Amino acid sequence: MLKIIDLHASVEGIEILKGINLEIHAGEVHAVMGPNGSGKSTLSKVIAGHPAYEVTKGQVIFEGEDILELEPDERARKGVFLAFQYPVEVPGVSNSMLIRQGVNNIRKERGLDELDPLEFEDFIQDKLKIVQMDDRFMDRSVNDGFSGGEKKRNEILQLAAMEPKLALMDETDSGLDIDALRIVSEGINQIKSDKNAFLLVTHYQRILNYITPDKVHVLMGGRIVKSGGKELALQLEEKGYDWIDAELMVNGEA
Amino acid sequence: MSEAVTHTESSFLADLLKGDNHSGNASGFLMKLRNDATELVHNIPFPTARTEEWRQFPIRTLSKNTYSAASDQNVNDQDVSGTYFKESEKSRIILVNGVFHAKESDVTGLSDGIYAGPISAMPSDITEKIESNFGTIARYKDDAFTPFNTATFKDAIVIYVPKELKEEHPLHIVHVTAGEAVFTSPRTFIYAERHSEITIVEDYIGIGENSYFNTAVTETFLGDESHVTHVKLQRESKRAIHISRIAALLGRGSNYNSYAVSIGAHLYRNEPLALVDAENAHATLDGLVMITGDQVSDTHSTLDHLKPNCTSHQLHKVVAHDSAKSVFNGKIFVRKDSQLIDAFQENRNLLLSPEATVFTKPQLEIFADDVKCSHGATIGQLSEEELFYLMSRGLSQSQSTQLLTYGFALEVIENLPIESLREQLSKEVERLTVSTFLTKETV
Repeated sequence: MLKIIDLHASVEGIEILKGINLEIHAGEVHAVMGPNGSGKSTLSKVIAGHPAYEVTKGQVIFEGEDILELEPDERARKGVFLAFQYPVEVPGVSNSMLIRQGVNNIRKERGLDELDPLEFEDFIQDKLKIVQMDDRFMDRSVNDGFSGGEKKRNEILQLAAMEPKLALMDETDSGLDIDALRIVSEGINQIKSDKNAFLLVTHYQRILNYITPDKVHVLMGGRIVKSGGKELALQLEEKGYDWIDAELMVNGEA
Repeated sequence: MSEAVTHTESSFLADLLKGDNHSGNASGFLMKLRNDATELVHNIPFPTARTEEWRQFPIRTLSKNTYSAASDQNVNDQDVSGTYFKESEKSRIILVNGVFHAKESDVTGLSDGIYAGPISAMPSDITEKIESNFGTIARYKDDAFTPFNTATFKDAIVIYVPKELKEEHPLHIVHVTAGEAVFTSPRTFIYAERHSEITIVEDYIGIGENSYFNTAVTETFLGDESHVTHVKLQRESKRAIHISRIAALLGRGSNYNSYAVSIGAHLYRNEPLALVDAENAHATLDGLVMITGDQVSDTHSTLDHLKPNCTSHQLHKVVAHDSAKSVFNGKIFVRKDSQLIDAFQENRNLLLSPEATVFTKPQLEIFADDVKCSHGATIGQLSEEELFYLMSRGLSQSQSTQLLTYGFALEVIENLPIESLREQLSKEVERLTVSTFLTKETV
């Protein structure tokens, strides 16, 4: 589904990603972990097409097509979804306006009929249940005045509504209390299928208690320095990132 | 040679007056008003590019044109029906080139006791009530445009709301201008007796994309504890020049809510004035400006707190596209003995293109010492982060821009008391942002 080849990206002239290689198949959940400033968030933003990042080298192949030249909305319509670490507040624009427009654009791309406001209301009810949100949320301005937990649940609601093939979850677990973390994780588990794939960017292992990754990658200094199974996350939780540094030194890779 | 040109410009309004054979047509108290006004037009200097208050307004564009007094015209229903609100089916007044059109107007939905119609047909008891106030509320200094309007208006519209009456239907007054190179002088006078309540929308439209010149003057007298909501909806032809005065005199405990929406005209100058001359009154002077192309929208407002214990609110929001230009000068005076005033003023500007310009000057002049006044101005573009967020949800750049612009404008739109009006303005946001992107994106 997704194949990243030797991806280099910089922001304001500073190189953040220094050659990422990664392959994700349908039905898989990959976790990307790493210390602060390692480039985790950058990776997800670059895949989604954030304009602040300049790709200097490499390819991002999604469903057989290099999407690096595509605008963020074109990537979204092809089935890439980014759940933001810091969801943006959009005063005056209701959740239902945003989500209905997004869903309809995506449906159009997929050759489905657009949903009128009434059909959309039915459609979104099931999605709201996934994140245990009240339908009053639909009339509120996007993320405006939402608590941290509500913002993250709203991201999952949008994820559920957009039904992407590839979901990039940028530190979705950060700032969540244990209940919100459970709701968000269970939401993701409900959405997860053998047709879609998830890339979880996270600093901590705790979300992986709820969502079992197929692969765990350690991102340090703009490169994936280690990949493994879910047990790697536990090792990181226990020992931190220093031992990987040490291991790399021994192997002469750092 | 250069002297001759200067002379022509400075006598611009006086010259128009000469060509207007309707001027002076009046009887009773209006006669004196008209005569005095005619004299003022001749004596008050016409602004020049160097007049401080007019520096950002291309006044020469106006004064180098010639216009003739517009005559009455027939209009087709379909030319104006697009502006109608379903809430005002039977509370609507149509004027064409300043002439009241009885046939197209219908005010049968208004409560008994209200008068809404031309000044010439007004019952004598109402004349007695309003004649001492008509023409005295628009107190503008060194202003030739208000007297010009007074000297040249045809059917001034008077709205009289008797005491204790709360009118639930909004009155929609449509001022239509038809014709090329004409001028009209729409005039409205609103008199709300104590404890009365009414909502009035004054709508200014043009038939076809003609070049014309309008001076519009609206005066509102608010009796004690009365509530008046006044919406000025300026959607003139994109080639028109519209100079506007909206003045209100507030009585004790009254509530004046004024919303000025600026969409049309090539050049627009609006001067809202609220004289808060009694205690416990509240004035709102909100504005929404949505301009494109080479439009200029210039608001010079004055909120004058002449008495203590009052509040005011002014939120002026601007969306400027292409090479449009917005000017805002908002004066708030708090006079020496006007203690315990709570005044809020904010001007927020959204620039949708690198060529759009905004001049803003919030201006507080406080002579009392126990007041709470805040003012501020911001100028910005749509944030990259907001745009990216919406686009990452599959919205195109133009859809995202549209939605964000709508969100920006909504803060003013949502306060407007008529649903149809809110809907029309939402569509206007769509047009504003969509028209833009037609030039940039291949649609």
